Amino acid sequence: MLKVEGLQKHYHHKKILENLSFSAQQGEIVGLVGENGAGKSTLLNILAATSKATAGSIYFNDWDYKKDKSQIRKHIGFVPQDIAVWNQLTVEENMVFFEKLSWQKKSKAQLEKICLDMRLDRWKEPVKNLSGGMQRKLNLAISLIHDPSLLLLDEPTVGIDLKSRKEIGAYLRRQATEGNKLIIYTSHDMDEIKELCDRVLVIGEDSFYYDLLKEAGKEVMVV
Amino acid sequence: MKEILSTRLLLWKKQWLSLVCWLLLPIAITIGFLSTVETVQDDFQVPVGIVLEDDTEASHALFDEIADSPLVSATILGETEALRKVKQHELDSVFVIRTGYEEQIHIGERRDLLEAYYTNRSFAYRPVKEMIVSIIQQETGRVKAANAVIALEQQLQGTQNLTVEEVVAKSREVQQEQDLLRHSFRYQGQAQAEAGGFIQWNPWMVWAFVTLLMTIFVFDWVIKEQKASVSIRFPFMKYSFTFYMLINIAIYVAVFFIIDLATAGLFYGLYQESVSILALLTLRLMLCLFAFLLVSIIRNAYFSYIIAILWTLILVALSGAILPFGSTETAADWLPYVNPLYRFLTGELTIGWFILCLIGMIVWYIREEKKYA
Ligand SMILES: Nc1ncnc2c1ncn2[C@@H]1O[C@H](COP(=O)(O)OP(=O)(O)OP(=O)(O)O)[C@@H](O)[C@H]1O
Ligand SMILES: [Mg+2]
Repeated sequence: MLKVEGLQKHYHHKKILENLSFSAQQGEIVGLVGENGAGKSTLLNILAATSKATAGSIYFNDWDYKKDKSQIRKHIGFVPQDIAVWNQLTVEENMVFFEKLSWQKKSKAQLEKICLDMRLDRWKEPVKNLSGGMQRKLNLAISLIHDPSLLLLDEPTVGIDLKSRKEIGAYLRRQATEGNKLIIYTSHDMDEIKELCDRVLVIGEDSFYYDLLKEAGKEVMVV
Repeated sequence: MKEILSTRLLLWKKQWLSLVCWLLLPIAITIGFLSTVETVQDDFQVPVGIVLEDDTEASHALFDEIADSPLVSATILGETEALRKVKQHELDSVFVIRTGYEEQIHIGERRDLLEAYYTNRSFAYRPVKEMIVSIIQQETGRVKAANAVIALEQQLQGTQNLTVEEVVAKSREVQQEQDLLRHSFRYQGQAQAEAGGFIQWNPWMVWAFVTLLMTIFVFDWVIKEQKASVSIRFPFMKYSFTFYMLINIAIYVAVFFIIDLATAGLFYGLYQESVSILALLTLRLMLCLFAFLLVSIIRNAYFSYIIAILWTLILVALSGAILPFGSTETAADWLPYVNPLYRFLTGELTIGWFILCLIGMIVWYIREEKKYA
């Protein structure tokens, strides 16, 4: 369980996040929306324990972000907004590369299964020959090697065709329910948010997203 | 650790050919350069005739030394034949070693030992003459020094009550007078200026400059891997990005050093030039840390290539490799500080620059670790 209380983030004197509080359970998919520059990536980085909050407290499974950072990070799967893979290596080599450095040992068959589960089947293909959608899938697959229980995804489906997006969506849903993971992800695609998320957090003052999602019958919360 | 090595092998698999090329290039360039220089110098050998009026051990020794010079090809001739050949410009010049050469040398007299013939087309007469004169000077200097030592010894035996201070004072005096204890400083890497301006290249000098450049080139992996944006994944992995980098630097040091050892064996076989393994190791450590810090600061592959090339050229010029007649005596004071290769080139351990780079590494490590702490 993730619990955020009174979270603030200031860059110098610029206030990005103000007094943000929410909590989320394992098995949930929580959407994070807001206009460009609202602070979605900022929040995800704080939840990933790679950036410090200016004030407030965060707990994950009773681990305090202020004290147990390295413990928390072991359980986090972070999918960066920019694709972070080795372009010159194949899909297989990328998976093996990050498996070597990961907290968990995985066999090649297990690694290949992660990819196949999200329909990434070009195992021997160099990444630079892959389509954008395939690269996004690999970007996600690498983050899952160590079986994280908290998955943080920063626009994981940007620039992907509808079919691949559906495949990734279905995969995330299975990860949440079957794998009992908590998934928090950002997207600018409201259709995707509506379809996939159990709950939505709107960052920022404006009511645009709130109204839009409320109308669609979503559980929405402005934070 | 083992895991990091296996990830490195994965990346190397994609570029092993270029990696091997970069690693072997210093050897190839050194051998190529030395053999080119040799051929060029062979083509420029000046034909000189030597007439040995004085047929003694000393005069033959003089001839051998002249013949050893890469500048000249010397032949012993009779006087008539030699003069005919000079006139026909078959020989650049002729030097007659006069009767009594050996005796004169032994009494430390160096006038009228030599007679020379040349024509208005003898372009190399002067440098060759200077070379021979300097050999003779060396010879007479040695004799003088020996005489001084003998005199000193006799004096010591006669007066047992000489004090240490007196001996030291005397030896100082002798040193000043006779240049007896002149400290002959050979800069290992320095292109040695042989008489007449021909250069004896030391393979390790050529190699050191090339390997400096190549190390920086090879270390562009640092830039590529920082740019690959995969570093963002490391907080969630077993090893921090800084530790991963550190181990990789160690891996590169090891690979470079293996090649360095092979180079040492090769140069010994080819040129009979030996090198201290420890000097080589400290140089290699320093070079890798230096290259790493340089590319980490510059963070741009092409820009760091340019800096590397410019800097190497400046160092080459500073070291007097291009200008062998430069004032190395005065340069020697500050050269060790600005030239990281200096210690190695003088056959010493590269300690100062290594420590400097080590401090740089520690600063880098602390800063990077803080970033994700
Ligand atoms: N390191 C930083 N220093 C100062 N300001 C920053 C820094 N990082 C982000 N910001 C600012 O914080 C605000 C929020 O940025 P953030 O990237 O979190 O927005 P976002 O909601 O993810 O936007 P987008 O939808 O474009 O991805 C922006 O105004 C940005 O300029
Ligand atoms: Mg963002």
